[in-house]
Amino acid sequence: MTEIETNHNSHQNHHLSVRVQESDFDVSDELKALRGLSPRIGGIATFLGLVRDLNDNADVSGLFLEHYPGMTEKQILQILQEADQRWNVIGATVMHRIGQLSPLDQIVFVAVASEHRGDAFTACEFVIDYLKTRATFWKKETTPEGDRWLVTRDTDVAVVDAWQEKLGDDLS
Amino acid sequence: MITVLFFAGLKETIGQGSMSVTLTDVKLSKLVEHIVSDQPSWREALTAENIVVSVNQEIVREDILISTGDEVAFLPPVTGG
Repeated sequence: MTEIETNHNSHQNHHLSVRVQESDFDVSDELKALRGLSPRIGGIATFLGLVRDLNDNADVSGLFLEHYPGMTEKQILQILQEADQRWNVIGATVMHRIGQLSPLDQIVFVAVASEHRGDAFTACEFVIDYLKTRATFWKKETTPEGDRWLVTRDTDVAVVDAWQEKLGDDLS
Repeated sequence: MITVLFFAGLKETIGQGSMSVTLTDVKLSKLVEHIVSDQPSWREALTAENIVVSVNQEIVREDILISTGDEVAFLPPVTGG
């Protein structure tokens, strides 16, 4: 089992946490940890990604996830730091699972705590959008026709292109 | 010695996840050429247009110099989230 925790405290003392692990996670534990960071937090926006049983018109019975230990965590932390610089972020957490998963399983959890909901929603959306195309994870689906490695979706790339357009060219 | 890593579908295609190359101070393009001349059946997979290369866990787009101790990885298209 791989479990790597990267906790980063920037000069503004914002708590950015990244964990990539095989084991499942409890969303309420993660929210409790964020809530406890500061009484300035007015709200937490979250995204929870799940394994679906249908993708590209094929029945999916299992999903295997691989990552690049060390690099993946650094890439996600960079995305969180980018969000932290652009919006009001008091704390943010990304959990991502690897290994063999099944439909209904939790894959990814993004939570952003902010003073106000606008920044929380926007930063949360930015983080999950970038994570999908900028972090070294690879998915292999099990379907009735056999296993297949997925490729980056054009729609996911287009979403990040739209962010780049909106935010300017200084994003990597 | 340079450590070379292969991930996901690429790892399955070439049948191994890592290898060591005893070269030093070599351009990335020369390193790739060295690997595929040794293993011609890997050429198509390693030089595919959608493969991205990282050096010491940073994605590189240029033909940089690779030195002893560096970690070079071949990365298929990513599909996280």
